[in-house]
Amino acid sequence: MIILENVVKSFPNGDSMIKALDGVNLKINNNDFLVILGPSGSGKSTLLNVISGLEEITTGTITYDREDIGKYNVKKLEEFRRSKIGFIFQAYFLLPTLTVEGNVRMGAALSGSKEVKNIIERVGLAEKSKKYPYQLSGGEQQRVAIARAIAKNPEVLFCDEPTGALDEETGKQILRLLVELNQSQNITIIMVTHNPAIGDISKHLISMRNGKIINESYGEPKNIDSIRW
Amino acid sequence: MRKHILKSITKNKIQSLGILAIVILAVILGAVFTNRIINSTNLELKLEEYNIEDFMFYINVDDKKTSNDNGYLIQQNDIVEQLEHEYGFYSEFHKYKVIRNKDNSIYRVYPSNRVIDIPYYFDGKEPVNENEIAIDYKYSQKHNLTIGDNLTISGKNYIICGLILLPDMIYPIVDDQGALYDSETQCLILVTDAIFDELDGNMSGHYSAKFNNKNVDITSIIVMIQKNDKVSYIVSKEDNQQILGYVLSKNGLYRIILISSLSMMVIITIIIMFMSIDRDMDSQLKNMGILRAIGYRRNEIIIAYSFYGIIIFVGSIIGVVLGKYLIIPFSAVLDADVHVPKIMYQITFFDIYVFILLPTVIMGFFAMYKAMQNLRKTPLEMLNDRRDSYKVSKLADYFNKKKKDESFVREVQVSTVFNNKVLLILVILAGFAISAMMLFSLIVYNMTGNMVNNALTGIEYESDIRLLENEKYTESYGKQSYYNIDVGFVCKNEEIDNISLIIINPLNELLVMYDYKTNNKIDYGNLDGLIINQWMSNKYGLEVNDIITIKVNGLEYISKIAAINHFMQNPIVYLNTEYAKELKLIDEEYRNGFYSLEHEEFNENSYINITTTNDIKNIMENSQLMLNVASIVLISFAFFMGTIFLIIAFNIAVENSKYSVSILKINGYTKKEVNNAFFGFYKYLVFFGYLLGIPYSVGLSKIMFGAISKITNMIWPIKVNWISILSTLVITLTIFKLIMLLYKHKLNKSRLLLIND
Repeated sequence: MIILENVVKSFPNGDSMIKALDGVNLKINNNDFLVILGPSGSGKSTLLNVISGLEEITTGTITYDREDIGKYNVKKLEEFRRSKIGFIFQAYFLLPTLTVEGNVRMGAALSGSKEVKNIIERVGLAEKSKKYPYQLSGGEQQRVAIARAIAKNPEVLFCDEPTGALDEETGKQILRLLVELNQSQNITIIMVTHNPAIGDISKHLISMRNGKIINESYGEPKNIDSIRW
Repeated sequence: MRKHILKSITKNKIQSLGILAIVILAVILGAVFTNRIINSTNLELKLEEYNIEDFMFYINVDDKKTSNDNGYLIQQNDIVEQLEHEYGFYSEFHKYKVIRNKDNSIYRVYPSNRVIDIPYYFDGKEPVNENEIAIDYKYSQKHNLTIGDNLTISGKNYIICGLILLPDMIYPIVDDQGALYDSETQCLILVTDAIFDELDGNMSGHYSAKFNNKNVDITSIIVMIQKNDKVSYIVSKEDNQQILGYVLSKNGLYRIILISSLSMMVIITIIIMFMSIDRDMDSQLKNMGILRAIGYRRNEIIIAYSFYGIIIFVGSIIGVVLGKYLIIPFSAVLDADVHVPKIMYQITFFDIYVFILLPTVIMGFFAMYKAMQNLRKTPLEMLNDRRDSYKVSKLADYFNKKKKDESFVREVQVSTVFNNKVLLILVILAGFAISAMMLFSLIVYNMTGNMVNNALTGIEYESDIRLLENEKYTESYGKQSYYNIDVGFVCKNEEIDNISLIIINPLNELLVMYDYKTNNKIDYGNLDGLIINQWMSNKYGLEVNDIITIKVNGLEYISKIAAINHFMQNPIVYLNTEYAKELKLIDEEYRNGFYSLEHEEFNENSYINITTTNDIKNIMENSQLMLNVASIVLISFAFFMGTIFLIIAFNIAVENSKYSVSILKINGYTKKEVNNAFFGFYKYLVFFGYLLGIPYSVGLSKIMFGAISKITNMIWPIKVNWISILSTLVITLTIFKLIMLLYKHKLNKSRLLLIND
């Protein structure tokens, strides 16, 4: 379980400071499928970054399984990212010099997993395992990013606008994969999006504005095929 | 707009400063070396002005009419006139008096009036009054003497009216072992005829001559003159180390050094600059996209990127100006033991064109060309320039697919390195540059030590005393005496003149020779044949058991070569008295010199000259100093340039890796793993470059000094030892390690979310 208490994240803005997160309180259960909604500049990506330990918070606490990750030193943070969490980004961020297999091995090498080929098959890229990122479509690259993330066997998967650069059909394929991971592997999914339609597939939805959570709801996720964006 | 672009370029300050520093260093080296050659070439033009001799000669000293009561050579006009008429030359008797002072300094005094080898006045004028003298420039420098100062000769004060160079006395005082000049204690002086006659001292001299017809075949006429009984000794200007023309004839040597030692470095510098600009320009793609998107014209952007030309321009100007100041001490070191006109360095059109305009224009245009290439893309393509859309090189693809079972970190190492061919070559070149320059410098440094050791090995005497008159051997001179005669050789259809043939007592203990290959002591008392040295063996291709003809005074003697000794310089051969008698070179034992364990005092009545072991040591140390300074300069340049090369390479590597580093870090890879993944493989590349540098520098030094051995009178003993090779490795890896630490630190400090940059 991840608990955020009164989390503030400020950035310098000229001579003053700007609060990207302003007193955020949030509880994320294991196997949750949390979608964070909000317009640009609302603080949703910053929230994702601080929960995942990519950025330090200014004040407040973030506990992960009762441990305050704000008190982690660099080494512990590395260990946290290494063993507990995975990432998927809008821009995929694959290593351009490695094949699909190599990129997935990046995750597998951390968990000691020998299932690289199976994972690639699972994301539907068995035929393209020797291809390089530049030889793949956007959707395929995002699948590689997902394969890389799940090869780590993460407890939590952070997804920053994972469908933002994809067309609707490809985006839905990616979402199906994420839902399946949440359901079959009990991976907690925390996803940032500006697309309200995607909120419908979540179990847990929050909306943000000006660094604050303005709305939080829990509900039954809808079928992906039923949503439109 | 331009300010904006300038800012975006200078954002990468290390890169720009690195290019600037390399340009400065490369231009300094290039300017100093090429101007050294240009100045030597300018000096050649002076040869005519000085009317430098074509050859010098002595009349046969066996003819008693040609020597005075003390055995010194005196002028013989009638014989010389006959020779002049016969061979078509004119000559001048260059007489001098040797005056040794109580403080052991030696003055060699000449009349100032000369037609051949005309004095060159650095300052002042020719002596005309009876209390005026002109002294040599180097001595004046060492003793802070200037025009108007006094100098005491034989107890009488004279006023210095001129500072001179005698073009036939660039090594003003020599012994028969080669150069021997110490500007601290030896001075050439020009005086009026009246003063010359007044001065006490042993008078001697030689004839300097010039052919009437410039177009004659000088070499063949000199060979003919050599065969004339009336001439005892003749040396052409090409073979005479005392002649300025000889030094200038060694311009070829400088050119070899320049071309071979600098060319690779210059090529590497140029490649690195091209690559550096190439990489940097690629990283500017997004900036260009922004400028295009907001409406700047292609031409404006292209012109703005000629900024690189400005960096090169500034660097090359600084390099040329610094080179101007450095060439003076550099030349002073190179000319430490010779006496040549002062080098006047001026920034010439050549400097401006080659070192400033050419690189500025080429690099400026290259940057503009790269900008032009980038601008072929649409603004949107430039703005969307994404690292993960980069294509993978065939080389990286090959290694990616070849190696399956290695660790992920190694996989990243290999794929990253082999995907960026420019960076790959850059790092190898940096390793190569450090290794090649450093090892070459160390080889030169060690060589000087070898030269000193070689010159002193086997010299177990304190003094080598040359007597003038040939005397029959008597017990009083002991077994350490020798008989030295000048001979010619005919071997392998080649005639070699002016060889010192030393007939040595078999029981001599003070000159020890070692076989150059086995290092075993040569038992010359029992050898039936000649002992040549390794320089002669190398230069003329002579080996043990080769048969040669010895020519002395028109007679010929056939002998074999029995051994090759360890000495590395000068045409000096040895044989023992018994064998010389057997060959009928002599009928009984003579002597005209002997080795002594005593520090003999100068005896003006008996000796031509004395060489002490200290003299030999001093000569060698003078040469050593020159080469050591040159090698230390090279070592420093190797260190600085190699470091800058690596900094530029790593700067590019870090810039290129930031994106991938962030991905690994975000995924939980540790600093150590990330550093290892992106930089770990570079040490192999640097090491590979280092390995390439070894055969290059060894081969270069062997070829270079081999060629120099052929045109000088000594072997330049190249010996590559493991200490040098290991030292080079340690230095190369230390530089690499320090730079790695710097960049690891820089990378570790960088933000995690660099992927968004």
